[in-house]
Amino acid sequence: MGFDASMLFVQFISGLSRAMILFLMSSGLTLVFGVMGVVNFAHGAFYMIGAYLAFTLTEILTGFVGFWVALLIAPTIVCLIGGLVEVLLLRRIYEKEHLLQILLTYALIFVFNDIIKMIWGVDLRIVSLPPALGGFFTFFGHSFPVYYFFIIGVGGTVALLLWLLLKKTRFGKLLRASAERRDMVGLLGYNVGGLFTLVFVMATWLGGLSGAVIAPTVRLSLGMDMEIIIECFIVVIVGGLGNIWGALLGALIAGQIYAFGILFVPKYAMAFLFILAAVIIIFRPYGLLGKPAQARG
Amino acid sequence: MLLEVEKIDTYYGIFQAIFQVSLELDKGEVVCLLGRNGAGKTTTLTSIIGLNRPRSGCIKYKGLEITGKKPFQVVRLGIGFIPEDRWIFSDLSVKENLELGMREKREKGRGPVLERIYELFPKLKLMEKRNAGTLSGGEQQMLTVGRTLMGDPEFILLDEPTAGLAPIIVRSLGDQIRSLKEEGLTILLAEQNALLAMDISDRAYVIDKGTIVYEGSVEKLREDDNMMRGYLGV
Ligand SMILES: Nc1ncnc2c1ncn2[C@@H]1O[C@H](COP(=O)(O)OP(=O)(O)OP(=O)(O)O)[C@@H](O)[C@H]1O
Ligand SMILES: [Mg+2]
Repeated sequence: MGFDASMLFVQFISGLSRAMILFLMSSGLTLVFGVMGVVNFAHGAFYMIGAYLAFTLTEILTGFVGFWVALLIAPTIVCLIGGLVEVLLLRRIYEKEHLLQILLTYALIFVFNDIIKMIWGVDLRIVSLPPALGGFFTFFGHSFPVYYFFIIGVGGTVALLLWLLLKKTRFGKLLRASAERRDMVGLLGYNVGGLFTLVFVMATWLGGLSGAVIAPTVRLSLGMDMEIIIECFIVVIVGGLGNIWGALLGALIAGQIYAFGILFVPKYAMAFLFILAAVIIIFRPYGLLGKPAQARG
Repeated sequence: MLLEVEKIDTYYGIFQAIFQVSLELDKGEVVCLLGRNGAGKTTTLTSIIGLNRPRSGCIKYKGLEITGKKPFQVVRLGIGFIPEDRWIFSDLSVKENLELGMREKREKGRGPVLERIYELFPKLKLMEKRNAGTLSGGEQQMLTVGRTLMGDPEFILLDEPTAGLAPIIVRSLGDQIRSLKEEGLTILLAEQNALLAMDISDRAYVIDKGTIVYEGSVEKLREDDNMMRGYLGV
């Protein structure tokens, strides 16, 4: 079996689009950990809700606008749910031990799974693409789904916006400051509680967006949250938990390993990711771009 | 009185760190809180700002009770807190650190605030683009003070600003604190370096094992051999 250059390019593009989904998801996970110090196991649940909402919205609003509206509205609803979760539940446990945070966010996975089961049932659901995104490009005799490039575009745009937010805006600088010394941010007169709510809303919006973006490429089913969250944890372990650019780098690496792993040894594509994570944990426990653990306040 | 602390008890878990601590400051005063390692200076300051909630007692600022309020609420009343561990944002530049100290753009007030900070600490202006994490201890201390001053407080709690600094830097920091006093800032200064602190202050408190053991003028404290040798190690 021979591989030519254009074949490799096909895999590269598919890996890149996978990477962008992983980045969209992991950026929310890592933002919440970096700023709030909470490992949000339920992040995948927000992704799943985003996907199911995209399904319903495209069902209600048929025609080509449906998908675009879903892309806007689904993450918005998801982030409102995220805001409620932060205000009603998470907020009570920041001061408590980590075990409680794990229990709470883990329990939310089951709660949201049951809610989805009640609303949408257990059947597989399919979201159809608008015609404009459903086609194929042909390149050197290979065809690429247009949707790959759409995903890459969304991921790239979000990465750029996050970069601008964190580097250039006051809010972004406050987030970076809080990640390092949240009590000092409070001592400068900022309401860190309010900041945390906004961060959680932002992160769940990213989760909801990931779900809505991926919806047309998969069959929606209960448990789709677990599939992606495991990969996301690998991504943030590789990149450095709490570091947005680490999440981007980790996602790019994981996407390519997966794409080329499938090409050469299809059975073990996932295994390569676990091996990568293990190697990183052994040789660079704080991840490629992470810093050694520091006292956080 | 600008600040009235009345008989506060503060604990860490079941360990009581300060006992029935009372102190007062008038507007424009510089008062030092002296004591050895672990005497309870930091705990007194963190109780005032709201980082540690006293289990009993009462704290009033401008006649308003602030006991049990969150730090950001207390800070918004015009109190600044400068922690002994500095807590700079090492990932941000010097200028960004300072800018975060100013919560909102102030039109009024005493002119461009950043320029005033740079006047007080000219060195900070030279390094404004540098990552704060690369600063030396003394420079970080200036940055910490400058950052809190950016919030234009009327009263600051200053926790061991000279700890771990070289003597020459300690001296210039002393001058800078004096010039803040001349600008009319009220300061509660916790220090182990008793001689420097007494030089700057109008009045002094001495705390030992969580209890206030002296309260009065700096002059009388200087003459009190018992205090100076027994509690301050001078
Ligand atoms: N976070 C904490 N948990 C438990 N005990 C603490 C904590 N912080 C301080 N203590 C204890 O409380 C007492 C008072 O400490 P505090 O930090 O207020 O002293 P200090 O006068 O500021 O000392 P230093 O000059 O070393 O800064 C000490 O016995 C200290 O061990
Ligand atoms: Mg102290």
